[in-house]
Formats: sequence, structure tokens, C-alpha cells
Amino acid sequence: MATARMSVLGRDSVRQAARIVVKVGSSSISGANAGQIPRLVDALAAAHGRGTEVVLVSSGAIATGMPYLQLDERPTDLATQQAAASVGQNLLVFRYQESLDRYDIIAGQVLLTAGDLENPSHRSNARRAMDRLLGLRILPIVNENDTVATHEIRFGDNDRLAALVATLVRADLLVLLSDVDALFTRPPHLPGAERIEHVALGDPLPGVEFGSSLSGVGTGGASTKVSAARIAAEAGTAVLVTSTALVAEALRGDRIGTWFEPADPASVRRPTVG
Amino acid sequence: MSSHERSLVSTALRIVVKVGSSSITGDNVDQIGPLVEALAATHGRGAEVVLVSSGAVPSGMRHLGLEDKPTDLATQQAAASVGQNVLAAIYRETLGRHDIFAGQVLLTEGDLLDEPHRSNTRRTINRLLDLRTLPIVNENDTVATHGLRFGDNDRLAAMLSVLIRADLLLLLSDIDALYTKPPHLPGAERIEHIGWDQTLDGMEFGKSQSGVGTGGANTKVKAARLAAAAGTAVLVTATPLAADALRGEHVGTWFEPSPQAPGRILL
Repeated sequence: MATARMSVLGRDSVRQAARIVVKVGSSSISGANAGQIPRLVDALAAAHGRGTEVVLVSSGAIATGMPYLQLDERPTDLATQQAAASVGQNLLVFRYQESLDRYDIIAGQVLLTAGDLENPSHRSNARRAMDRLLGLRILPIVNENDTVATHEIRFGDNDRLAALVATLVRADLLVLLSDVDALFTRPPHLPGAERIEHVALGDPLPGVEFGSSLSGVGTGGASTKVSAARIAAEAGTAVLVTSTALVAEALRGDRIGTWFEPADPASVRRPTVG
Repeated sequence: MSSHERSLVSTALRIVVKVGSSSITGDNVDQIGPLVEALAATHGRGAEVVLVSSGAVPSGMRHLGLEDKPTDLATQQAAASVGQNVLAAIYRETLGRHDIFAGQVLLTEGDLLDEPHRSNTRRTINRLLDLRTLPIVNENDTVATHGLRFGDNDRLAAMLSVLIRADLLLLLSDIDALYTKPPHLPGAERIEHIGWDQTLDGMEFGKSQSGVGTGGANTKVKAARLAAAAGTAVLVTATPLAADALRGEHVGTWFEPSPQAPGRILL
């Protein structure tokens, strides 16, 4: 069983990462992009196949459920959002499993609420469950329990969930995937926007303007990615922000996207007990 | 069962059906098909149906090729995480033949006890029912901790029935009815009817015999009394008798609902 590394993961050693969390946004794998799932799974399976422990955090339950309830636009009332999530969640996991079947990888569904990660005994419980899933070589597919979560659906985002999961399981690397191939100094369609290659630990990124989501499907956006990346990096997990289209390159260790340098895990993590 | 009670069943508008692990996993996995047919027929006559389904842990165990029921929590949770998907796929396929969509609802005890979760759960299930989907509810086994677990889905099903003011709760398992003592013991008699204010002195209800789930006659009686006290009628019978039960036929043990209006009993 892989153990969490106790040294800093460098950008050039992504292929040696023992444990990776990959987060994919709703607009990348639902609606018109539902066909992207097999490509994403190919990349996850390649990493899994070389012995890496892989966790997928996937949004998309609500977007997947919408057509079944004859909804063209994202519902605005909470109860309908939750109904859509309820119908869409299993279907989404099923689509991933169908694709994973090509590699004989079994998926496990993990639905979490903020409380599961905050309360210490729930947290230990969740960590042990995740460790066991990974130990059995199952690919956990994690999402917020949208069907029962309350205000979290309106104000939360899966970038943050992914960062919290990465710190929970002591991942070496968190990959945040969306429609944009890197972070830019301002929304990339604006003049003067420059790609950000590397963010040093603790860099406050002065003068950078990050926007909120444009796709209208998910609740993420550049600013939620930066906040989430900081949470993970400060806890010892390296972070890469790039597009879903570049997932294979990202997991191969190619120099793409925006890299957030992690804190030294040895200095921030206590040894795992239980 | 009186003809009044029978008519209550066949015209019930909101029904919670709970099925136990051993009825639908292992050698009994082919009981899912007929069960879904019965639910679909009930849904088809315009009733709102919620299914509380156990079975995630044993389904996962089988799928992962693990032999006996795991005793450590982490492995149970891992099995549940896989098994929940396996079961959902089976339900989806069989319901799909009737053009019914299933909604998955995974709960922890707090979602049925504490506010704002309790009201939120009620609204979500109501919305799913308005949209004519069939909510399939289970405990969120993958994350539930020992201290918080429902212990058995009989209790979850009863609490849910009260929350959504179901007319009827159908508790399905391996036993065709409740008996005054474990049915293999001499002198055991079938119980047809339990009045809402009837005491159960002298009856002996046992724990689970199947070794698969965590229910048993005892948990069913407790759950049934909880629901009946809040105004939901309860019928306890065997999974293969689900279709008969939902048609109002004379099967199982009937728990008369309290004449008090639902909702006046607070959990």
C-alpha cells in the first residue's frame, strides 16, 4: 500500500506521486461534454495502472439529472436542485463505471457533506474509509451529498471539497480540471491577460483578477480554484490547475497549467494514527 | 385484515416500502425484479412511492469477491460504496422498463432528526415525488459512524414515513408475518392485527436470523409502532408477497394507525 510521501512533490516528479486527487467540473463532463468521460477515464486508468492511488472528485450530478426532469436550465430552487442531483448522481457514477469497466477498475461512490470533514471523529472515519477503498484498489468517486446538503449547494463548490479531500487523504497532488488550460493574471478573454505558470507557497498574487464561473453550469471559477489550491498547498499537497482536455498530459507530468508549490509535508502533517 | 384496512392499502396515496438486505442480495437477488414490478404497478395507479432499500454492504461484498460480512467498519464502508452503485444500476434498469426514474437519497440520522436538515429532506423527497420519480433511500453507509448509525433501515423507514406523512409503510423481509414468538418455537402464533393502543405483553420478538442484515422481528415491531403512533398504517410481510400486499390482499401483520392526525406526534 502506498504511503504518503513526506517530502515535497516537485513539478517534474508527478509520475512518482503515490496518491492523486483529480477534480473535474460539471461543464467538462455533462451536457454537451458528457462524451468526455471516456477520455478522462483513460487518463485516470493510466495513472491507476502504474500503481498510483487515484481519487476522482466529480461534479455534474445536477447537470446530469436535469434532462430527466425535463429541465433546460439549472434549477434555482433548492428542492429541485436536490431532486436533479438525486436523479443524476447514480447515473453519473454509472457512466464512469461503464468507462472504467474497460480497465477492470471498480468505482466506489462517496457522498460527503461539510460535517463529515469537520467533526474530528467523522473526519477520522472518512479518512479510514477512503484509505480502505484505495487499499482495495477501488477508485473512489467523491461528490458533495447534494441531495441532502443545505446551503452548501448554493454557496459551496467542489474545488474546495476536492482540496479538503486531498488534505484528508494526504494526497501528493491535487489536479483541478475545468474548461481553462491554466490560470491567467486576468480573465483570459481580456487584453493583457498572461498565463501564470507557477505559484510559490504563500504568494498572495497581488494585482491578479480572478473571475467567477462563466459556464452557467457549475459553481466554480478561477477564484474558487485559487482558494482551494491554497488550502491544499498549505497542507502539503501540490496543486495543478489545467483543463480537462489536458488531463492525460497533466497526469503524465507534462509542463502545462498552473502549478502551486506545496508546503513541506514533513513540517505540516502529523503521522497518521488509525 | 378488515375490508376497511384492505381498502386503505389499495387506495393509499403515499407509500413507503422498505426491503431488507437478505431479501434482495445473494441467492435472493432475483427478488428485485418482481418487487420493482409491484412498485411500478402502484406508481402506475397514481400513488407516490418511496423505496427504502438495504443491501449496499452485501452487494458490495459480493461484487468485490470478499467472503463473509466484514466486521471492521472501514471495509463495510468500502463495500457499501461499491454496492450502492451495483444496486442502483439494477433498480434503474428495472424501473426504466416502466419509464420511471429513480432518485438516490443517502441519509444520516441527522438528516431526519435535526433542523434544518429534517425540513430540507422532507422538501427534497416531496419534490422528487411531485416530479413522479421514485426516491430510493438508504442510510449513507459509506460515511455513517457507529455512534450515529440508524442501526437498521426499519427505523429509518419509519422515521421517513412520519416525516413525509405516508399513508402506509410496508416492511418487507424474509418473514411472511410477525409471530407471538420466533416461529420455529412451539406455540408460536401468527399475528394478524395489532391495534394502535394494544400492548404486546407476552410476545417475544427476536433479532435477525438471516445473518445478512441488521434487522429482525424486534426492530420491525419498534419501527412499526413508531410509524403507527404517528398515523401511518404499517404492514409487515415477506418480499415475495409485496405485490399481494400492495393490492390489499390479506397477508402479513397489520399495525393499525393511531387515529390522531399525522404530524401531531413529534419525534
